[in-house]
Amino acid sequence: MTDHDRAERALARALREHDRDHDFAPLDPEGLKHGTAVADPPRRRGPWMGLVAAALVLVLAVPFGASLLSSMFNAGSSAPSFEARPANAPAAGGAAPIDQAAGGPEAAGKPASADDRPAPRPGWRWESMLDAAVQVPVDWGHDFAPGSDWCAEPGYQRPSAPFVDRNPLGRATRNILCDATVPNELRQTHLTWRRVQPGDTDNAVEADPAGEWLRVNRVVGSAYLTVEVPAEQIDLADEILGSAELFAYDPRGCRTFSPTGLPDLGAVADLATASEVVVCQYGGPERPNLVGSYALTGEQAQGVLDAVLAAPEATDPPHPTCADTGNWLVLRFDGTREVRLNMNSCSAFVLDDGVTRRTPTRATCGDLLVGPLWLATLDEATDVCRPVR
Amino acid sequence: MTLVEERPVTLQGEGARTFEEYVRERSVALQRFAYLVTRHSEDARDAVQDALIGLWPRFDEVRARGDVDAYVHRSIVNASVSRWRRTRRSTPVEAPEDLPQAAASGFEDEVADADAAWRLCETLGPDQRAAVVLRYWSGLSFAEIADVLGCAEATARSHVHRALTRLRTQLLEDPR
Repeated sequence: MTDHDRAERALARALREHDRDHDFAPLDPEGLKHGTAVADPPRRRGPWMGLVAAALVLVLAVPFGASLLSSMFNAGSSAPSFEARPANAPAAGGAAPIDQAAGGPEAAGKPASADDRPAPRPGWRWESMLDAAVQVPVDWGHDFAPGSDWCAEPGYQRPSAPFVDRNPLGRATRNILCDATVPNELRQTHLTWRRVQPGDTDNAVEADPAGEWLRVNRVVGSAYLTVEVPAEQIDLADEILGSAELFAYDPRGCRTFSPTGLPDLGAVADLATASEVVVCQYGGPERPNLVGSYALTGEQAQGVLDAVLAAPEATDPPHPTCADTGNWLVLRFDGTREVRLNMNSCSAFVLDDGVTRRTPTRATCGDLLVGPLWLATLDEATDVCRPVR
Repeated sequence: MTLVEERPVTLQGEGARTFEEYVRERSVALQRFAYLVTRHSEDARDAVQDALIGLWPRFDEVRARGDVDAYVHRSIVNASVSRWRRTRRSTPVEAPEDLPQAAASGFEDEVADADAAWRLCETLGPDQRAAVVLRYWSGLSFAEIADVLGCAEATARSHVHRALTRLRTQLLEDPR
């Protein structure tokens, strides 16, 4: 036997022996179809820690002890670590229409601290869309990728720095037929995305006629991600797309699809201070419909809280007959309070924390559609929340 | 833009006709594969769950295109690479005392070689470890490994051969 054979046999044997290190249980297809795997699953713990924790729960005998015990024992089992949800709760990973969503209060975000969230690599940050998240260099900005109307007056301006596209699902495109090929002098390195469509090819690479610019495409969950780079930077595109992950809650804690019902985390007025606010934007009736998120901290977070609390109480009655188009902004304060702003055009345009309904003002909403967020419809919502391009 | 390269998904037959059948038939094997790649049972379970959650909306499409396993394997490897990068390349592995001991064997030399191979796998990056697992556990060709990893066939071949070279060097220090 040669050394080569010996090494190959050793590898094959090692893998064969160790693939039975754990007794993995079959997964539940129905649970997977509901897409409710927790983002931060119970972590491995030693048997003594499990016993101590279980004893503590028994001593405390809290009303929800049964569910706590259940989750603790599940932590050491090989059963799928699914989050408990109503049996008729809609899928996160599928393309279920919003109006099929089960009613009842649900948190749009995960009530977890920033410490629980996956950290990006040093020098990179997370961008999320639909049910995918991907890392980009921190010095990338947010801007608009050229659309089919790039040649329209006043014409597309080349962004000055690499960027991530701002809510490409929510932009209006003028009905102008431009040359399909954007001139290379207008191109800038960027990441854009859309909902995946039948026939989309994973790992496809496209080139402009001169071969100077490349578009590298990946299918990640429900998202079709595209990184456009100069040809010599294809490794950067691969690095960005290689960082993509699927999620049930994005790296800032936003769920993949818009909320139904009202928040039940309590009155935002209970908060005197906020150290962080996460803004999640949702758009469109198809699930998942998260179009982006960002977080503000410190004085900026406090400013958003103050502006929400200063907004006048709404007097408009709810519009229960309006169809939910899936256009929402969700503000999450320190993971403990949530305010939802319905941007569905026909519904009452109010900030609602489940306790108090407030009318948004420019001070409340004027600076929220920034970063990756954008909404181009012309109605009351954008009049008040109109972002500055 | 003109399509210049299409990294195809490997085309192989699939027995499962529905997502439910596929999960029932393959979820244990997929978790074993993920464990060999991640070296951590819970990470493995999470990676497979995430991959299958992502597969569900497009199961029919993926199945029609060919090998569902290749699609899921790719998702698992990508998740493993991402987690590895996120944790600054310090992949937590199971504590040895938590693991069952390898079955006793009459061929002590081969057991020792396998132990050396298992320890070597622990030191590999996730891409390289995945290539080794796909080659020597799944039995894939280098072209198929390249499909799963989304890399060139030469890269897949290089991943495996470099691991083999390192193992051979170690084994040569203990010739039999």
